[in-house]
Amino acid sequence: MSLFGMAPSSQSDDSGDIIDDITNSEARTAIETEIFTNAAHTAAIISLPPEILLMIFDHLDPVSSTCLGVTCKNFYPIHRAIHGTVGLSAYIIGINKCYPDGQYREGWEFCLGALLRDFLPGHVYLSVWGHRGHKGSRNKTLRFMQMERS
Amino acid sequence: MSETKIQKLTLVANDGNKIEVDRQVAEKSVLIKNMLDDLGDEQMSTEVPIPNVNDTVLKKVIEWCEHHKNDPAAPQDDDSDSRKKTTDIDEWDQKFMQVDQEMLFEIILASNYLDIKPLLDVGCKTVANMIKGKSPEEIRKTFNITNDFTPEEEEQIRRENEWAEDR
Repeated sequence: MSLFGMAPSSQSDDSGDIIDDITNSEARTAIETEIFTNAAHTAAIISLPPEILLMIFDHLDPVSSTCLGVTCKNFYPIHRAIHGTVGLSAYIIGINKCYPDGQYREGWEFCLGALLRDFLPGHVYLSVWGHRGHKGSRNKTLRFMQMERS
Repeated sequence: MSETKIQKLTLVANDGNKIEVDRQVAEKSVLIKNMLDDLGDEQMSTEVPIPNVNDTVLKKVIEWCEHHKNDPAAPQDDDSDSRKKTTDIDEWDQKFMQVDQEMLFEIILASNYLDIKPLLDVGCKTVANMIKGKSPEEIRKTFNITNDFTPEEEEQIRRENEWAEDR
């Protein structure tokens, strides 16, 4: 993948307005100032150069990449460039949760919809039906139900 | 020193501190190795300035190079899937990477600058492992990331990813 592929300005059309916003707005200047200031003082994830961020994203599964991607404007285009659109029912393979019965199983809380709980509108409620295979996103075992925000 | 091959190098960190290392150890850095190869031993000063790395970080990096000095050289084709797909880290490296976050990112930056791919890899995997299974808010807290999206931009993200039932 070309490094230029992840520059916000060269995003393809499907990314739409938000990319333009990032490129053009004053916010971008603000971010750059922040990065510059951070870099001058301490090393932090936000101050890493793009090629290293790309390597980190490269090591992430699609779900984790999405979660990192929506943390701030700088990361989102990198995530999109690598993983594109990831469905809410995708989940992280290989992270298991210990259930009350003492058994380790793939936990539904490691599916994207659950991890993005706070990011999604209040009325999108995730419920799990039955057992999911490894192609969980293909099965219609995860359903999103409308709920009133309590 | 014109005839004998240099066996020891002195690395000079950006704060002026000097650290003597075996050539074999220093050559874990492709940057230094190429410099030695290009200049040849005759032209090479045994003092190598490392202007982008401070003393503490340089020592830490050298510690890693010492431990891994006998590792076989990484295959040139290091875009291979086996390297990318796994985030397994060997036990010694895991312990080595148990440092505060600032040091972790300093090590990553230094290994990138010095071109020590296996160390850079371990660093990136360590960060990846800190991210896995966390929600965006937990990731922000972990890495001190400020959410700079406006509500409209967040809405745009939900829309372009089709993260809503009735779109």
